[in-house]
Amino acid sequence: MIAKTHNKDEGSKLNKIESYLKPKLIYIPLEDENNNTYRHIVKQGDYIYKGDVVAVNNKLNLKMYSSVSGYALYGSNKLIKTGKKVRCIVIENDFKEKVRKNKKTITYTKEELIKLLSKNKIELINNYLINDTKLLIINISNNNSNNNIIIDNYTEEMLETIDNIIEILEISKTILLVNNKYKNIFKKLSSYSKTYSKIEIKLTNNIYLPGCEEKLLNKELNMKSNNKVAISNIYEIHEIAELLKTNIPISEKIINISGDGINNNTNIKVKVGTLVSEVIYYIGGYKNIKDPLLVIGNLINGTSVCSDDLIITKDIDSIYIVNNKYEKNSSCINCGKCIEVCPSKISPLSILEGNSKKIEKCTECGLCSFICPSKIEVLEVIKQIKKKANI
Amino acid sequence: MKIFSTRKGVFVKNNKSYLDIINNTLISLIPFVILSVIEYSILQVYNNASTLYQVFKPIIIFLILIISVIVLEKNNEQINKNYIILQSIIYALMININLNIMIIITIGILINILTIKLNRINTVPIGYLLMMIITNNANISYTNIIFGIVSIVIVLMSIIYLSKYAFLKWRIIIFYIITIVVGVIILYLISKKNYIVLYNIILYKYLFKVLYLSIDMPSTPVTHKGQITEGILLGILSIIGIYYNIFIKDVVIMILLINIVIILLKKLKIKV
Repeated sequence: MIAKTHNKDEGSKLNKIESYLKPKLIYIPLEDENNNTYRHIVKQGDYIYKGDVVAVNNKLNLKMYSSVSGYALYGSNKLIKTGKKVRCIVIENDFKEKVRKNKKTITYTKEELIKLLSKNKIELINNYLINDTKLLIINISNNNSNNNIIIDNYTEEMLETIDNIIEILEISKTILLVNNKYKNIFKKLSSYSKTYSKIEIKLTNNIYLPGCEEKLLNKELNMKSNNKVAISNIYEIHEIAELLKTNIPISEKIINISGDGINNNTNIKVKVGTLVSEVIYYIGGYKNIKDPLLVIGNLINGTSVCSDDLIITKDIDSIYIVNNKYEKNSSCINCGKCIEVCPSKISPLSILEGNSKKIEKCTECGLCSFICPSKIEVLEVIKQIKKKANI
Repeated sequence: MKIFSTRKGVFVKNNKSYLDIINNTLISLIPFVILSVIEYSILQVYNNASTLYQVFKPIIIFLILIISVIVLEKNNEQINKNYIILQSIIYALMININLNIMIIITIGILINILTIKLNRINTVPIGYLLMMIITNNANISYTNIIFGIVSIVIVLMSIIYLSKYAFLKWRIIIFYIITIVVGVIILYLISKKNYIVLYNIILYKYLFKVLYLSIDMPSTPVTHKGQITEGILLGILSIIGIYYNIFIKDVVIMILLINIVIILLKKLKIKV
């Protein structure tokens, strides 16, 4: 949780989703953000169907899929989310969206669904969803505009997917936690409450970022975290919806591109594997600002990347082009604000002073760096200590 | 393809910087400075008990202390000038204005130097202690009840202002007052003596000093538990001081004692 939000309804500000679903070339990186490398299993000139496996990591049983149908071309080097330049497979899109005949919708059992989610690296939900989960919480309190855009545009589809998930996984109840700021989303979701009786819509004044799950349970449900509660978000539900509908892995992604350095702030649906440069050109290009930064993820704990020659992978939700407003730090004044905001209830201040007890509890949310009045990059120091200690 | 510069860290920061906090704290002290000038200059003239020197004395003290900070801090980028000015004003507000001006200024400059050298140590109580040793009494004592009430109003206004625009470890004040109230009731029940300490405590000389402690970030605890403990300890020490009528009844001396305890606790790696 980072802050209380005002009661003003901001839902009406939601934009529509644009589409850029016909890129000429698609890039499949042979390395992921966790530094896992993949071996390509297609050759130059091979015809590839949408959803086909194009690269594998045999050690961890990980796979990379094609998001379009077309021909494999030469290899190339492009940037990925972490800012690293990696080798990738290039697929020339034939715009036919051909899928293999065996890829048709099927009905899943509980075990099959859990396996499917795990196979597609739907991590958060899979971490929590074990066999005896009784309650599923979909956290929409985070005021990330994508959350609301997805719900606003795909309300029925989302609720249907949630209903399917809870039926297959035998979950007795689901709570959708909506931020008080988005009352129209709440109204829209509530209008379906009779149709989906197991889904409860709850309003909250708080914002819960990833890593604040324990606080969410404590504050909103007066519960302690336990294995019987699963917490997910709307992205994952959207991904699962596509997975269940088409039986092929995520091939399209809604991303938010915004910031001072962009001509048109846009929410856009793109093919996984499209280049950021292409998408930004399509939505109207850059504004001329001094010393811009390209940030992947969010502005608190995202990554700054050196070029827009970057592949949109399925774990990228937002791209920001912002002014580089670096503020010089001064010495710590012992105000204790970092301790107050820490969702893991650890003391970043004592970590800075050399006492790295409980450092493993840090979820790297970045709130300590955000709040610090002395502008100290607390998170960077913690990351370095963690790296040294191999945590 | 467009090339961007890269950097690590957070890309958006909270608007409230250290400088804003200090500046807003300085603003919150303006009513106290005005009150002090009225008490020691204007009222003195009104009562025909003053020379021209006496009228301008508080202003002279403020000016000399602030100029000393600017001169001492000229080439120092490490420490925030405004923080030292803040310390100077608090010091000037706490001392006995009737003392020799040279002693006041010498100790003031000395604590400014100490603040620069000992970055995170609260130096005002040290200067205050020196003042007590030299003069045997450093307290400002309000004889006029109206000033007492005005100062309470100003303290309350400051608490609201500081909570909204600056930084205030309010738990220290609240738990200090609670402990004092409980302690005075207990003292009354034990000894049946009518302690008028509550009157003294809510007056400027006590509450302002505790308020000062709660805005002083470097030497106060960072955790909620630590702040509550500090407030309670201050309260207990006050009660002991009042009961035995010993020197620690002065809040500033207690602040100094508590600061030493906190430094010791930190050395023992206890989270406060």
